[in-house]
Amino acid sequence: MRLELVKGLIIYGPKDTQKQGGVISFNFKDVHPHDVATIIDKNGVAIRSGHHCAQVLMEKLEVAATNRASFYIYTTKQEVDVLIDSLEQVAKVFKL
Amino acid sequence: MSGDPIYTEMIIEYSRNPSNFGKIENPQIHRHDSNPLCGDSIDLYANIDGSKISEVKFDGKGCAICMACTSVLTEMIQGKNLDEIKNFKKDDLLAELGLEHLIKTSPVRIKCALLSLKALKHGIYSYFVEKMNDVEAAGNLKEEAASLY
Repeated sequence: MRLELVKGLIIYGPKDTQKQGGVISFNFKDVHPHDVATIIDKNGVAIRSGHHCAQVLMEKLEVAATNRASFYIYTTKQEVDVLIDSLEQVAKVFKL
Repeated sequence: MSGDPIYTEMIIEYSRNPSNFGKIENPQIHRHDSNPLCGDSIDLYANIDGSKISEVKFDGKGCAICMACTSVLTEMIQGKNLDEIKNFKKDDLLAELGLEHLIKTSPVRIKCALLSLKALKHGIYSYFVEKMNDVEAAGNLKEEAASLY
């Protein structure tokens, strides 16, 4: 999975694709998920950010919130590339 | 993202190095507020000397917009008279960071920008009502806070 190779990306849930569905929650370094999602959104890819109605889990994970990208049959490879390239942009904007 | 209307140098700088970040022990004003759906959560502390804000600090977690706006708000209200703060409008805060456009361009982020102002208005309302027993002086601060976003 190309996402796993992004430096500073923290993926929550199983890394085994046999056990993980197309919904992936993640955080990127210490940047708040809202800021990550806004920058990705500006590049044309919409992901969710926030508690996802799972505030208790956020407390358990000790995070303010997470990002969540959902992949399905209509998601193109190009959109996945935009998502990953946007993360590099996040690092640049936040000078990480 | 050079020239980005949201993530300006000033917002990034304030979010990485917030001003007045910390806690005041036994403050005269303390207000916790959060945006539960997105995860911004702050505690605002202030002390009053006479009718002026003599000291103000905040701590908590939030996105860059929330942290930058809270930092700037604390800078703007330091030393201000309570009457001036009662008249402090959301546009005053948004304009300071060049975020007036958020109302139209990214309404979902307005709550991040104005969380601290909401906490401040509620906090001063409680100060007037609970500590000074002066409901009249509190005016419509509570309603104003509730209708900020």
